[in-house]
Amino acid sequence: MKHNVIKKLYSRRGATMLIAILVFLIAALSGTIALTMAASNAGRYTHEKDDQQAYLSVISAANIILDRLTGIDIVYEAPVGKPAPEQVTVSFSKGKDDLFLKDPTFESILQYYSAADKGSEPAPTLEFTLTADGAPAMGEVYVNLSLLGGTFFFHLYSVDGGHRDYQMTMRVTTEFSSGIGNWERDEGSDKYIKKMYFDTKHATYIVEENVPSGGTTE
Amino acid sequence: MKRILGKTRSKLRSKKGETLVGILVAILIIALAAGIFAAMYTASMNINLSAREQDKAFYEAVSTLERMEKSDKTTTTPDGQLQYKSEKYKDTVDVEYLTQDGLSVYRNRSGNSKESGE
Repeated sequence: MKHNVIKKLYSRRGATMLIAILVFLIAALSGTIALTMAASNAGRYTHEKDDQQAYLSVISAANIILDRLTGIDIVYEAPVGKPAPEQVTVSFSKGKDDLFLKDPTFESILQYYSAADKGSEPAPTLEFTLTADGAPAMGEVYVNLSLLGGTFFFHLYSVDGGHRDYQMTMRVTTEFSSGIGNWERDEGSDKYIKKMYFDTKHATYIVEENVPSGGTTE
Repeated sequence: MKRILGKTRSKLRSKKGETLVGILVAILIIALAAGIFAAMYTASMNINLSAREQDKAFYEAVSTLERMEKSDKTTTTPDGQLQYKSEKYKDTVDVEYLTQDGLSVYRNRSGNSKESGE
């Protein structure tokens, strides 16, 4: 065997050169693949602390939002049993009453959600930012609120100077006192009402890229 | 078919070499094809790794938050504020910051209750 190898090495036949070139090619390709993978992984772990801080900012914002939704009773009032969104009046009977709860666009979303006759318009969406004053490292958290079916989707993300987006979607469902489609006649007045609360105990968190766009079906 | 097989066999047994130009062209084609496959493989590996790392980073952050809330080494800054801003509304709420090892979180300020009445 040794003799054959030496004979092969000293051979001047074309096939030997071809084998040598093939061996070189395989080695070069293996090296290229290894280098490409190494290069693409380089820098992945240099922003670990920034990654953690960005997610902490997102989680902090999510907790604040969830806190506002917890324990709150929303009362819808309407003059008719099958109201359009603009006929619905929204009020909060208990719980905190600030941040997005006071936003006119959030009220529009609740009006739309509660209305029996939604027309052809899609559900409104709300976009807002939460910025921690005095903690610049926390950055801004962008929140997009949309409605799909009976679920409120809060899509939160922190942009770390354009390096990466740290994203999470928080899903919160709702419960109605008298069934999602039913308006009850208020005794003593000629109004129709229904009450709703957010089921924050069963809120779910999804780390994902996409979030459903506005629109609801009941 | 027999003719093709016969030609292939005779080619394999032949002692004639290929021209250098022919070999170089063959190498070029193989290298291009291999480069494309390598790029595809690397890209799919990166996507998998990236998704796993996002999940990992998120759940590590949840654990960090819980640890910070319970730890004695956490510094609390009680007079923080959180700015809310949307197209139609602005608001400010009081929060407190918890800081440990250069990482910060915020939460409702203790005793903060801006609640609506019944």
